Amino acid sequence: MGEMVNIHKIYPDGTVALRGVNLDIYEGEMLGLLGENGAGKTTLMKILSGLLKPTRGVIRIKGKEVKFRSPKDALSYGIGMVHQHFTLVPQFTVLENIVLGSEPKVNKLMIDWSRAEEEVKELMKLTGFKVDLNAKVASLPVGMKQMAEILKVLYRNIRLLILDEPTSALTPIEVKSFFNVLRKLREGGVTIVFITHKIKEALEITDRIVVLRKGLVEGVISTTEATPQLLARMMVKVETKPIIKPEVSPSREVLVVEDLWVRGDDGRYVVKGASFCVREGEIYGILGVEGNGQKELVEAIIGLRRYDRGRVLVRSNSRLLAYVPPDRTTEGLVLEMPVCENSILGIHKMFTFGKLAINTRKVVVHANELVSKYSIATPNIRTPAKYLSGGNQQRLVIARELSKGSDLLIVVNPTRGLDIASTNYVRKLLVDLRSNGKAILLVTADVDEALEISDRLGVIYNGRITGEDLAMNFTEERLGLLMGGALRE
Amino acid sequence: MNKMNLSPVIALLDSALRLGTPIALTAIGELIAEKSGVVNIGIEGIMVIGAFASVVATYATGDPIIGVLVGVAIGALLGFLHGTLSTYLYADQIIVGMGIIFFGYGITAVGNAIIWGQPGFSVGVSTISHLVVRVGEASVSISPIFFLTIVLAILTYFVLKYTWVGLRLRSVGEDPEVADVLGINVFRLRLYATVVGGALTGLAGAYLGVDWGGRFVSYMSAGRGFIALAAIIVGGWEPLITLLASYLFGFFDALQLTLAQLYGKQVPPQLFQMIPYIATVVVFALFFRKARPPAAIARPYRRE
Repeated sequence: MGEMVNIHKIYPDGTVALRGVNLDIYEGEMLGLLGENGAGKTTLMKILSGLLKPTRGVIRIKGKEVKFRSPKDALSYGIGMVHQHFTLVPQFTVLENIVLGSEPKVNKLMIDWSRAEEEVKELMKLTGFKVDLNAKVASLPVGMKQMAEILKVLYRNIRLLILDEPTSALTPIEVKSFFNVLRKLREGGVTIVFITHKIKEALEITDRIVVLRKGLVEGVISTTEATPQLLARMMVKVETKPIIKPEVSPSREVLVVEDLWVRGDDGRYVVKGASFCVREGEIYGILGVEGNGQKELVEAIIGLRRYDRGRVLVRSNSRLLAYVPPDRTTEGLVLEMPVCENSILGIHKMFTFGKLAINTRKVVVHANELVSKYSIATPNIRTPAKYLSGGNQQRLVIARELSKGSDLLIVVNPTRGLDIASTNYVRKLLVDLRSNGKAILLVTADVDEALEISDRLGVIYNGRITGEDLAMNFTEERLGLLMGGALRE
Repeated sequence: MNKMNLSPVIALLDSALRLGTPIALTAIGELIAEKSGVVNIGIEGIMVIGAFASVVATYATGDPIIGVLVGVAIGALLGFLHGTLSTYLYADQIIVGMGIIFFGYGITAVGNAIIWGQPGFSVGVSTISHLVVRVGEASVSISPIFFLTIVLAILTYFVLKYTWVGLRLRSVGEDPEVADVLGINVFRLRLYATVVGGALTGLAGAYLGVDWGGRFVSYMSAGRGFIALAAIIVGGWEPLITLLASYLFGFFDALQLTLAQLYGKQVPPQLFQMIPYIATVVVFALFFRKARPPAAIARPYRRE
């Protein structure tokens, strides 16, 4: 029913998300779109649903070439997408959210609420969903919001339903009944595209699986012919060799995490008994597709989030925490502030006269030291951090964190969005630090990065470390199975 | 107008209606804009310009009805200005509003001096005729604009709650991204809401000019635009409660004036002047607590 030909997408910031993807969608099928982070699954479907414009390429619906300028255009062709992040107005009721923009009318002005309710109830009967239509969305649990979201799309009479990681917020029982609903929809003639990184789900529910990797189609396979091993190998391909590291025999445990249970923002457990340790002179990598509890795990370790059970032990020489956050622009730096002021954030008390006034001379000396030591390219130290390139911003963050002198360093996605030179610089820096005895916890979604610089590696899936080994012992297939949740060691 | 015959209570209520009406009109108008996500603090300036324009038009034509219409039109025009800048051009809504306030104070003062050759106040013009209502022995004259205010508040309540226009308007004030994805034109809807808000504020200004006083006085809006902003917050962005808050403020203002008249010699009048502010806050702190502004208020929407 639909066809995407040679789709390219380059985002305004230069990120290349798709490099020429061809995709056929057959009438009435359930198509799985499988791949790890950054494979381009979501981007591809956002293009098909009219939210993004392709940089190049053609979309055909039933043989006819179409150009979508907005999601409304796609909806008029019967294409609707349920996003991973809900597109519901929290203060509205479920019914208001469902009809918004396509309200049935009594006359020119009044909404026909009774007809709206009837129509939605009809849809609920069809799908087996049970949602309180008059409840405020903000008060609903995630599973209900998910249903409201799907009802909203179905209400618009769509023929092609795109679901982006729809099970990430559901409990296993909810997933089961959700899959039954999807099967019913398919029987009703709705074509479904199911985006996922979970191998098991792809195998369970789809008819056909397209594996994407780094913006290209890696393979197309009928689900009956697919095995977890095959899919895992298609999903994960390692392209770099580990950096040669001097031998260090790690000894003292600097960070110990034992049976940690942490709740997410919605109150459900998202870290479910994670245990690991990071020793002096090693990089411990935590690798996983995003949204498997990494964020909450790190927040619990650094003290931003409470944990319910378990222990976090830090045996560091310093009271200060060296932490390189995942987003340098919002958490790592104050962009409007100059480099020199950014260089003392959090350690400003070391740069004062008495207890109050900032000792500007000391700050300048410190900032200049960091700039030259870590070759941060900046016109001068008075330049606001926002004018630095991504790579230099990241260097500044790392430099500042290292100047805290702690022997434990926690870094999250340290090279995301950096060019190759900066990426290599950062990775090499981390390895050097480790060789000089630092304990480094590296949390990343980048397989290459994890294998390249980690000494030991734990794969995180659904809030648990499902596999842990020396980094060099992991094969692509084993990593793919672990990250896709098809294997638990 | 023979106030001598009125019992003090009726005089107080009469005064409360007159003091509350311009605040209520402005508050209802601004509430519509805020529900769509646009804050227009420029209503203070729009009110004073509306008052001035209505007096000038009445002075020129002799017909206060035309004065009112001109006041409304000028208000709508200024609403259009603010709406365009703060939606299509992503301007900071507070800065634009400040601009309109000072423009309003300035242009009316200068205009007054040019037209009537004297600073501060204009010559008297005719006012729109009132309805006379008998209350027992006494009789009160009530402005048709008062009734219009009540009707507009109820209409606003109705449109926001029961019509698709209202649903969409609220959606762009709560979550413009979602509304946009569903094919709702966020910019246009916000612009319309701000124009309506400006028009009602212009009407409030005209009320001051050609209903209440029958002349223009510099700065005659006297901060009522800001009080209207407060009335919306106190009213929790609900049209009918906001209406109530506006008139409650008007009542306490009238009370304050009466007390100051009676006891102004013994007690400093500033003490009385605090009454409306404190009393309104106290009343609503006691009875209405759930105030939550629209989630996307004052945030310009930008398409990615």
